[in-house]
Amino acid sequence: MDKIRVENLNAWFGSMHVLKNINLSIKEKYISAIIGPSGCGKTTLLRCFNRLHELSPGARVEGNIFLGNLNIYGKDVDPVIVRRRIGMVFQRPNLFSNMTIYDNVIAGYILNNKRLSKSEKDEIVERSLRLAGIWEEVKNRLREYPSSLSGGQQQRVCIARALAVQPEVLLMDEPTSALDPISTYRIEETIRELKKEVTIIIVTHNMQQAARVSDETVFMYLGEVIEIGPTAEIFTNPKKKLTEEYITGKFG
Amino acid sequence: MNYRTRKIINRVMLTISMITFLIGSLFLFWILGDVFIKGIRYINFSLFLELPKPPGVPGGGVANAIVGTLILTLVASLIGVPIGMMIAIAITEYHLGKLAWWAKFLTEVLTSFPTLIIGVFVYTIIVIPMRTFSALAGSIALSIIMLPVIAKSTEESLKMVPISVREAAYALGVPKWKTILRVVIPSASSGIVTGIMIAVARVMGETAPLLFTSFNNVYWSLSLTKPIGSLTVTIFNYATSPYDDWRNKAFASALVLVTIILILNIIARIYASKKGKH
Amino acid sequence: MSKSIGDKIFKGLAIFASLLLVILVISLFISLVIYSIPSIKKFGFKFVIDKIWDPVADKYGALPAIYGTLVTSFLALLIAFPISIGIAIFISELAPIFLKRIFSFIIELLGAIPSLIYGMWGLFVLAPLLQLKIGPFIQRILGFLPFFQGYPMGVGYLTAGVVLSIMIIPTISSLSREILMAVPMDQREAGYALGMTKWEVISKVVLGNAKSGIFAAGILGLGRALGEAVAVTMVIGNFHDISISLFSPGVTITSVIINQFAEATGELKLSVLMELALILFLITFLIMGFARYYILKRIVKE
Repeated sequence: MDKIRVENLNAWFGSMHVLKNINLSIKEKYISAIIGPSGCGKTTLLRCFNRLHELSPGARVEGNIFLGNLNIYGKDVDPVIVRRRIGMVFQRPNLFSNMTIYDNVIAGYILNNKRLSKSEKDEIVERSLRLAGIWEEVKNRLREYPSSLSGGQQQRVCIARALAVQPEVLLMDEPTSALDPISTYRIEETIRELKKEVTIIIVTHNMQQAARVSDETVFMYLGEVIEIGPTAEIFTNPKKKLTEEYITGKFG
Repeated sequence: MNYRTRKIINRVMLTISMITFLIGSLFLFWILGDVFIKGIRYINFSLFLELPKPPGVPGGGVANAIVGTLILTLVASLIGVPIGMMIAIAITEYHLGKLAWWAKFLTEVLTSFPTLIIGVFVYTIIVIPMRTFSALAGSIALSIIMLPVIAKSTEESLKMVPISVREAAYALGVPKWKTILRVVIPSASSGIVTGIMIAVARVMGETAPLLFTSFNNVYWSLSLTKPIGSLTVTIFNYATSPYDDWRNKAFASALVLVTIILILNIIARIYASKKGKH
Repeated sequence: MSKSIGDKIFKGLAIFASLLLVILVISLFISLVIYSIPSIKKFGFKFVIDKIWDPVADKYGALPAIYGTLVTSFLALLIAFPISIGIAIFISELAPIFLKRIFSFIIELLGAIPSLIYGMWGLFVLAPLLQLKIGPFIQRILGFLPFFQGYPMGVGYLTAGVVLSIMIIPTISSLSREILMAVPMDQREAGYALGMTKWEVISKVVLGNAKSGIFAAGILGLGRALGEAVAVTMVIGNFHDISISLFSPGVTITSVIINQFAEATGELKLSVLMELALILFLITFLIMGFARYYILKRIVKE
């Protein structure tokens, strides 16, 4: 079943045409990886899914993206609502440094003035941190500040924070590129577990990570989708020559 | 020029440079020391608790002036801080093009603007229509003086907050205005608070603008629509008077004023450096 | 970005605040002009070059005030500029790192002292000193110059100039210090590697790099001196005339406005003071504007 459907999506940075007529579908509760060389537009595409791209000065988007039945680029659609249904984890952990770990995890509720009882908050915090695979490590440190955690731990708390508002889709923009191999491995484990809860779209410049983690792979080059298909096929039997050349490292 | 000469010139110039610093420090301690010596022996309870009395009459104080300065500063802050912060937010958080450029430029212009002229301006737009000097006019004049200081320090603090923090909030579905109020500003709070403290210290010491707006009042007054006494105007009047008694009180009050202002500056500095390490 | 009411209101407030600032500055200029009109109509351009100040006959001239403002401010800059550069160099290039903050702070405190206090120090400490000790001393050595003739009264252009110079030292030196510290380390290292002495590196490399910025700092200090009111009023001597001698008392635009305000009954008298304020506004604006333009040109050239 299609969770997300992209129709004729075009995006610009000023006069630079960075996404050219993108058409694709993302399947529900799948992990889809977007790969491609630097500058191919994969991060831009990801940021179009939660309408973050248009916040950059000079940025423009045309086309449609359907989340279920809703066209998130529809005329009267509030981007803020979209972002509550589609969450994001960034390249570098960006926890709020003046909030405790506990408050960071439920920030999605607090900052939007949602009233919750203490027990509701506790429950959400624990559930989210468990899903992110870091509950045991921080359960006694919830009142501490993010700076006391390592990079890998902070990134997991970011994942917990994004999951706390129960989004339908989780976008991950090169989530392990700033981390060491061990943290990377553990987060990849977590991502595979999370498939049961959310649809995941992950951008990565690391092909091996895409091969390890994802069910579907989208290969992009110079702003266009070149090929999309089951990960196993893309990596063992790509249909397009360009895909094959990228996979085998002829350019990157 | 041989090497020996160059070495001598080097020594001489560097020593001169050090001397200039000593000269600067000398003036600091000379001026402060003078106020201290001349003022300390006239500091007593009646200075803080009594109303002004004619020269030569025993007792008498500047209690109403102290309260007046506090009121003027408080009201000025209530006006100047929010507006100054909003100007900074307009410049850094929104893409307002030409308007942002003008706001930034005029903030610079207003920063070292003669405060006398600001006082005269407020005289024309508030005192004349109201047909009276007033604490309100004084506060407005002071708030105009505070505006650019607050705007500049807030702007610099906001710029230091990385974009990723804002994006984290947007990605959670937090609207922009809530992001600014509940994420960006708290992140920048130490710089903003420091700026406010320094702005307050600055306007507490202003005299010229008050001469045309809040004027002076030797009786108790808490009203915003009547003239109000202030420490600076009182000191100015007393110091330029021919009476020894008043001059002594001027120095004592000046000591009080300078002490408050310097303490504010020192606290602001310490707060800024402590928070910087966090 | 979003269509919510909260965002629209908040953005509106931000725009409103910015517009308020623009309107403020514009109306400041306009009100000065409007209130100056009666005076401009009566005295015309002669106002700027007239010396007379006769409240009884209602005849006024701005020349002594303009002269006094310019003389005291430029004198202050003359004294303060080298000292400020020296301080900036000392803190930026010579002081050990752990002392830089403390030294900067000392100079900052100097700048935090209210002008009223400077005025009092000038009136009660510097003026008597100038009258009794320093003035006669200067006269013995430099008395042949027209600048130092006449009886040192204690108050006057020189006293005001010195007081102003101390007041603007923090302004010029803080900005200069920042600019010097912004010159990259590798520029200095290039100089040392060529065998330059420390002073040569400072004077030829660092200062060379920082020239336009330091010029800007000087202009900023000048601007502050031009606009200073209370301190100058207390030590200028309130004498409505022009004199070449620095020992002579005089007036400045700000001192006239302060001293004459109480007697400004009637539309014309007020208007005269307003025109003086307008002239000060224009002088300040022109000098700052010229400096900004000049600096922009140099930055573009570099």
